Amino acid sequence: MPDRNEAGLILVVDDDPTFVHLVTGLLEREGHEVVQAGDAESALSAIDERRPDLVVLDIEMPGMSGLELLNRLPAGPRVPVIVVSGREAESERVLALDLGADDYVVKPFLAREFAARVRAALRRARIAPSTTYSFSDIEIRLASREVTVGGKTVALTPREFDVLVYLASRAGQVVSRRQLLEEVWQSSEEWQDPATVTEHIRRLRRKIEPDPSQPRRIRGIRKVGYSFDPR
Amino acid sequence: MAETCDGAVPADGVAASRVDARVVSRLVDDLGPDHAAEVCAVFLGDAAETVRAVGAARASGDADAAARLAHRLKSASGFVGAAGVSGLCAEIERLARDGRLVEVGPRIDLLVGELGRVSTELSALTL
Repeated sequence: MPDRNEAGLILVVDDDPTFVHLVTGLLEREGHEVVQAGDAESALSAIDERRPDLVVLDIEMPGMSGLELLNRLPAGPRVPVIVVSGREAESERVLALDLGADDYVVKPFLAREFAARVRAALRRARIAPSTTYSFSDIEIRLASREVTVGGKTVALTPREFDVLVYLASRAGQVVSRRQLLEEVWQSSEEWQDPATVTEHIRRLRRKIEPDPSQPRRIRGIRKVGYSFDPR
Repeated sequence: MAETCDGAVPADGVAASRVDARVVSRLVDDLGPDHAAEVCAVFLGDAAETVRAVGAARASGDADAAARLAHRLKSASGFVGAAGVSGLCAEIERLARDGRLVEVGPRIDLLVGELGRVSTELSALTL
């Protein structure tokens, strides 16, 4: 049994009611709180809203697969994921682990061993070193919420920091204003003027770009959004 | 098929058990008797529904759905020690992925029979 410090909020993602019922009961018996999601889409919402300490994720589900969900989780400090699957092939394990899974357990498995793997994953997550995003001249330290450019600390507002982290954790990818509104502001274009995003980007560029009028780090992609250049 | 679930009765007249009692016993130890019984009940209810869904997928020619459902039931049956169900589901999954839906039909019939026997045994083991 975990002590109070080891227990956590665990999201179980699977469309198999037998598995969900078994694992929920097992984990609750261990002292964890369990949230369930029957598909990847609702799991993404649950991860965003409930901020679980761990996700138990089945690979094969209708609609978005577990691997696609893994691929959509942002880089950097993120919730640990234990993939569970009936597939034993090495290629499946390698793929899931390369996509960021912290463990891969083949179904069916022994309950006590699984509970021990959950405890181990939670322990690793709690003692993991703080993540720092480092690019050529910019460092973003998540634990201290500190940003340095060329070795000098830059004062960002909390929202500016969140926008920067969101972009940096998706370095090289194009991120739309809608995504930023939804995932950083937890809002939508229905409720909030997208110009808010534009304004925050402008302010960020003033603080981190050598020449804000010709941004090198936060590039604008016309009619699409923004991309953080990691070079 | 003999090693999966043809219901063959050995020479000594005792039908082979369809559920591994050691697996169920371990489930009871790990989850407690009430929860273990619930898991078995959930399994049986979902298995019946899944078999119907596999049949519907086969009838509509949806091999992907048939394979996915069979795969799911295969995994679930392993947790309650129903190896015969697992074996049949593995066959259905393989046939569906190979596009051989016509051959899935007889396996579904066998699966229904196997689940009936599993249901009786699980109920006895989790009382």
